[in-house]
Amino acid sequence: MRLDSVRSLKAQVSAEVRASHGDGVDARAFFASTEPPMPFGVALGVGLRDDGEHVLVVRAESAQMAEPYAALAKGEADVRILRVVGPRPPPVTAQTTPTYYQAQRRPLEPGCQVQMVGKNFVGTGGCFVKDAHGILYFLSNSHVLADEGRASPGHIIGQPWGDSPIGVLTRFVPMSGTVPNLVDAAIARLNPAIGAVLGWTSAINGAIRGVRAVVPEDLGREVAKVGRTTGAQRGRITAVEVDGLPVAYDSGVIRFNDQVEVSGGIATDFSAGGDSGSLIVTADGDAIALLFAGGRDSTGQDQTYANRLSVVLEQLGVTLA
Amino acid sequence: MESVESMSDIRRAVAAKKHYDDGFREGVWEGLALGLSMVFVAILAMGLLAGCRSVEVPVVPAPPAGPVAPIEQPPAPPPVEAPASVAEFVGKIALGRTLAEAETAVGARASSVPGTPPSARWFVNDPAGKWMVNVVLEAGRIARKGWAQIGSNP
Repeated sequence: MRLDSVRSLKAQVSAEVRASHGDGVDARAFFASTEPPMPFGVALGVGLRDDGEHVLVVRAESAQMAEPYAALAKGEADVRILRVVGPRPPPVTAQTTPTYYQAQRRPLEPGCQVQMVGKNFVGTGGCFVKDAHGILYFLSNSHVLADEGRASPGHIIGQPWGDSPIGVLTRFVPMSGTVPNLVDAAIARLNPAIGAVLGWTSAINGAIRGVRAVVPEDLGREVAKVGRTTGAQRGRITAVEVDGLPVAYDSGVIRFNDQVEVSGGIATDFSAGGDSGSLIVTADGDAIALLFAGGRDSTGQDQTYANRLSVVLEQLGVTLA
Repeated sequence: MESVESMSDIRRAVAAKKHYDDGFREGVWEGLALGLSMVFVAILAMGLLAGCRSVEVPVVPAPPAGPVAPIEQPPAPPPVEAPASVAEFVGKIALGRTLAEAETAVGARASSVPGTPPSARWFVNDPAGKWMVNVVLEAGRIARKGWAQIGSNP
């Protein structure tokens, strides 16, 4: 199937979902700010088969939910039944001996463990960014640095087993419980006493060349990330333009549009709990996405989801440092 | 709403048009044909600009994603140019040597980074700031070198 055919199918689904909700006041209010409208519990995206043909990506919580959408694609669909796709910070108490990226590192580097002081969960600092004045911040998810948006700017960010704060929460992108979101992102201002390795990632043991948008031509492309739980891992982009992705947060299910899916394959997980906030880069060093969620499908394969980095940086008003 | 079947029709139409175009261009009146083609394109563009949505533009199917660059490829050179003192430090670390030999040349490393492949690091102080020098080890030998600047807030 061609790329535009898959996109047409997605639009067709959106139209049917919209029609199924009728024309009541509530439905109109919902869809006025929800484009494209997607059925609850089902995410649709664009994938690529081994023969180079595009397919409709269907991610659903049950086979029954996925079936109508697979039927629309007349079999040209990549259907995976996912358990609840949840965010990734594990409780600190689950750890034993800290690994390289879980230990305190000075200078700080991408992939290091970060934690809201006083909270019992951790995540990953993905990379360093700067504002228009050249002030440095580290980038991670809102659910890592801002407690899903419940925290206030100024909250101290530290590291378990660390002896000093590494920064303070500065900004996060609010997430809506009704309208699909694009990013789960926050930044914390770097403590002036602490240095940071700029423009580098151990995911590829090399320099970050720059930021670029994810495009359909990236389907199948090998990417890498470094996170506090699984360290440096490689995977492949298995879906783009994933809309309607339901993610289970403490505050409830939140949906995301225009997401990127990465899989480590059968034997290797691309990410695990605690890798939230990791920067995803291509082999060439292009920074493309911010890891924020994942899940294991019914075949046991790990699926990782990430925001487009270009959108993350734009919404936070920063650039890569 | 465009269906999958209609996409197949478009593909057939594209193929037929290509066959026609190829034969036409090979003719004696190639120059005239080119001129007519330009007029056709101009008319088509005018139609699109006028919002004529019923015009179907043959779309060449996008090529499948090509072979992706293997992750083992050396990454692009660091975008930040290292100062002379850092370049000199990096120059003392020879590719193909062991980590012990590198340490003899430049001093003990600051840290080892686990991974596949593993790497090792030094930190270099320069009047312009602090820098990290990183080497990647493959089969126990230094296979790649890189560097990055250490930044901080005022």
